Amino acid sequence: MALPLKERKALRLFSLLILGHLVLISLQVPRSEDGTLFKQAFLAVLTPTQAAISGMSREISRFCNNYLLWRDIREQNQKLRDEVFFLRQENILLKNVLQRLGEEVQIRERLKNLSSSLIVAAVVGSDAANIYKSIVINRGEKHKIKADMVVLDPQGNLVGRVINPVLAWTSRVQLITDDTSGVGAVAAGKEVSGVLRGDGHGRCYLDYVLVSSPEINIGEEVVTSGFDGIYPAGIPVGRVVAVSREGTLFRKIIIEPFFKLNGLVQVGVLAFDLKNF
Amino acid sequence: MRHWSKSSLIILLALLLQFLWGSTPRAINDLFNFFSIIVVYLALRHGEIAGTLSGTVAGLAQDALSLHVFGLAGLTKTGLGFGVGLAFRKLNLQPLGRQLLILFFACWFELLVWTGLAYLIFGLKASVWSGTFWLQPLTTALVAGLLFRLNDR
Repeated sequence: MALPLKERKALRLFSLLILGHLVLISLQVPRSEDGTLFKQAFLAVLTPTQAAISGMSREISRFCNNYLLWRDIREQNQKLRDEVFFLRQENILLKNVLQRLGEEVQIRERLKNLSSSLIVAAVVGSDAANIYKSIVINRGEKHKIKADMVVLDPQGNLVGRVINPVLAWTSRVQLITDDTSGVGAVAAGKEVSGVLRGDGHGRCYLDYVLVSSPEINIGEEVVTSGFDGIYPAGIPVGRVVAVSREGTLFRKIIIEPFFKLNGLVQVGVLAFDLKNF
Repeated sequence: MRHWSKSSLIILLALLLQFLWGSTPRAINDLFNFFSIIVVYLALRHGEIAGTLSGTVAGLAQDALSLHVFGLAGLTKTGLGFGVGLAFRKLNLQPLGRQLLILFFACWFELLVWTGLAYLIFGLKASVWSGTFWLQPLTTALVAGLLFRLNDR
């Protein structure tokens, strides 16, 4: 029995769209880091909308909060906040650099470019499928943001890295809590290094730590090791909250990241090549 | 023509809600998927063609806003929209209980296909989802079903 015209039309449309999706998915096996042109086009349309909506809601709530405050106090407060933000980041980076470099002249030379190379960005969106995977920030190619740039929270703790595609005005940051992320990390003050991987629920695992390696205790701090070639050494990552044995070779170490996703409204992007720093 | 512009507005509304919803805690965040809700609602309201098209657009929007495989949610939501639209036309879904049950199974199936394909093709494990994530089909069926009923009146 022949199907009615409307039904045939719907079935044809459905088949066509399903085929289109299958082609789209098959183009990504194995998954490309840059994303397809189609995805980039979709992102290019959606992220500015996302940024606009989130900016609008932020502005409205800010306006309500500050309604009763003096205007100049607010401005002064904002300036001080920005200054504290820069100083914190600078302080942490300086500590790391001081540990590695000896000569004062060398340090002074490199510090000249530091302040101007830190880009402050606002968080304008979260991941639609899992909030612990990625965030969207309101800085992009136009602000000299590039893939693999390191992102820190206002306290200087590691948040993640910028990933492709980087759009003109916005970019996406892969969080360290993403289950597909990887960060070279080391227990502070110890010779125990491993690969930090997110669990997708807001915590991380420190993988590949041998059972035979020195003991790691609960409460110990974990920092980046710099071995991965993306994240510079010495950035605070999190604290050990559980240690157990996984199989015969490795330990299972759970890390609570220092950065808090709830309330993360501002981040700092390190816009310089740390290998040359 | 009028219902196409209305449908586009509804999709935009879902986009807006999804953006704003992003800042809620994970357990609450995973409970609702506004894209699924509007796909089911539009399929109920305007049939399988509207369901299929809105499924594609909403699914691709969800894919674009996440680090997941681009096209996967598009594929499953297209199926969801078509399936719900077709079921509503072919079966008698006037009784509320029956309607919610069919919607629940359709949403559950969509979620299973989505997580299954993500795991089979790209090795993305289902263990990364929170407990409330698995309640999404129930909330989608309830919200979309009730919205449809309210609008019908």
